[in-house]
Amino acid sequence: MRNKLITKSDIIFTAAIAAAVLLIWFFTLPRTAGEYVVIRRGGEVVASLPLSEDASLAVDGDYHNVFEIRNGSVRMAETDCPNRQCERTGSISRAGQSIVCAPNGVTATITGGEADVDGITG
Amino acid sequence: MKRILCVLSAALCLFALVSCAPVQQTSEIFAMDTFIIQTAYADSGDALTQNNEMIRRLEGEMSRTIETSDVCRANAAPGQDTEVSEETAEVLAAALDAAEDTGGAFSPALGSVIAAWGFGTEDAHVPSETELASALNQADYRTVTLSGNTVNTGGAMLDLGGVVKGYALDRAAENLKANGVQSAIISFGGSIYAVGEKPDGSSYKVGIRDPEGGENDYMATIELNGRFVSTSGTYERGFSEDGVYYHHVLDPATGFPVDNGLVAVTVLSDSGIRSDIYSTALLVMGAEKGAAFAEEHGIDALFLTEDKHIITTDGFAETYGLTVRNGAYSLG
Repeated sequence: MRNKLITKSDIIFTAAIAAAVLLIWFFTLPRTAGEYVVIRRGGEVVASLPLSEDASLAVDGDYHNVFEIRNGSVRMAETDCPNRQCERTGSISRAGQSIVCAPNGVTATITGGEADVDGITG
Repeated sequence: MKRILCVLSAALCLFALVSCAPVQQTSEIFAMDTFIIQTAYADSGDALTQNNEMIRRLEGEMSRTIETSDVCRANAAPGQDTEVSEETAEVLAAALDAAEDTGGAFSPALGSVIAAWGFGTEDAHVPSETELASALNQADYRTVTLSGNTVNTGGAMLDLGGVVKGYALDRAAENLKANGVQSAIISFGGSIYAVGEKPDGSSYKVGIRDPEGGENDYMATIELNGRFVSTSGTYERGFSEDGVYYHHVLDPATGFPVDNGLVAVTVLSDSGIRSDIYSTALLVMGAEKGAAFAEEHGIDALFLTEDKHIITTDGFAETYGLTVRNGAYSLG
């Protein structure tokens, strides 16, 4: 009898490997559930914190900023920068929103959720 | 052997499928006195890094506060020829053309007036009448000459703040294209360019800032498909003196902050520098003259008045999917 080019066990084996690869891929996908606040100074990420956990984070540069996460929102709790624009931004909680402290070169942006808009012109 | 080959090819096919999807790359930096945010779907962050380097280089050439910049060197040598970079010459040429085209509603030679008000410094104040008159005397863009890369300010003080971000956006958009990036949104201080669709197939959506809200509040949304948007508003970068708020958009004719019933103007076009220039120029012109100018020049614009009316050029709402999100504002 002639050898078959592809046997049944070949197909089963290949399917099993394919399934394994797909499973690995699926579990290494970036998680989109759960929102994070990404805090940067001078463009470099200094912290990435889940909004689900209450926390405080101080960022020191030319000025002193303290971010506070409470009940899924982030705000600038303390700053000694000259214009205090960052403080006036208030609390943010939705993906894409950000708090900017220009004098200190610090930003806090919420990522991970579904953003309502991808940018704001103004 | 055959089985191993089979497995390998199956794994390779799957890997190819999975790995070809571009990854989200993001960058946020401060430059040009503003917040530069970029998001692109690409295999690497190279294009965004190159954009950041370009932005810092342009800032070094065209800032009015960096002493070694082309602009500062030209301003420090009134009546003398100053060699500038090709990029500075290109931006200045576009700005001078726009000044001519808008009858001076846009001017790249307002440096002395901006300095008299102290905008952008800790010493912002209302200038005295004589101070302002003398600053205005030095603020005629028609004294500026440009020949090749040689600038002579004729005694005026250049300020390219109203054009350089738009120019940088143009250059960044070109660089994204050169890098083969097919989906991205980049915002240089609220001047935004978006190309392609998001990975879920939807268009990039941009909010138009609500002048009465905070930095994250918007009153309407539009969709950008390969277009550039820029907004000039009276609610930014100002200061209060004796209970009066003075914003930073100055009328080149009077030297005073614009006060004509408009709060903001949003312009969409096929170039960042045009959007940047015309959003300022139309705000200075006012609703009536600005709308007529926009229609005549084929500029897509949205005017926001103090009494919360939205006026647009023909076809704006349909072209950009304008959706008003704050009930306090009304179209028409």
